[in-house]
Amino acid sequence: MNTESLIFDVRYLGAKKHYVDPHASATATLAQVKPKVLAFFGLKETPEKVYVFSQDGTPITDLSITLGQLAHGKHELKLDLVEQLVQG
Amino acid sequence: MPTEFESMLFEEELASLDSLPEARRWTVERDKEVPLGITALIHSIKDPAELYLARLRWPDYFKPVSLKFLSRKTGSDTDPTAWPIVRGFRPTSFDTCVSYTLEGYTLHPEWSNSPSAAFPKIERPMQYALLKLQSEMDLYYERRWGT
Repeated sequence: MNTESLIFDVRYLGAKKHYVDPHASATATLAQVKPKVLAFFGLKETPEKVYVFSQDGTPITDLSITLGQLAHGKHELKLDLVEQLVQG
Repeated sequence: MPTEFESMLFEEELASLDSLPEARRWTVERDKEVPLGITALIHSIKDPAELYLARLRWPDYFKPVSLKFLSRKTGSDTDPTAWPIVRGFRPTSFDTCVSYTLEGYTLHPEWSNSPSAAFPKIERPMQYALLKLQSEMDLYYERRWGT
């Protein structure tokens, strides 16, 4: 059960400000909102540099999931945006 | 010595750490031996009773942080049993080989010019380091070294 819109709040780990859309569509997918979020933080994805959303510390790999599904009926959705880590 | 701006930002971040939801899980103290350093008592969500004392020091506040784990008994930074087993951590070498630490970029100088591993431009170095560390601890923690 999705509401029509929700507050979408994204934290990029090293950034001072959050990306906040107070009227995000609950039916929007992560794939649809990701370009706006990346642009807000001045980030650009390349084949070598990938950013992923995570919720409560768990990376979300399915970009077809909607904001409403992730919000589980709540009116606010908080996610983190993290860059892929490289280890030696 | 850090610049005035680095010192100001460090103090500002230290004073406002409580605003991070994750901060409830940490005990953070200033590392008085260096201008830009803290210690953080942290744990993985996978084993909340097992506590680790992480030491984070920034020779340059906008570059990767030096990360070591200290013995909670002696304060030693050369005790492998003070280290958690997490991906990229090397307890017996007392360092970490990951793309958010000074030690990682020292082991892999080529990372600095790599499209995938170059250190990002960040506005909140302390927040970034602590959240990155916590995330790695939560996702990839196995156990304490030597147990």
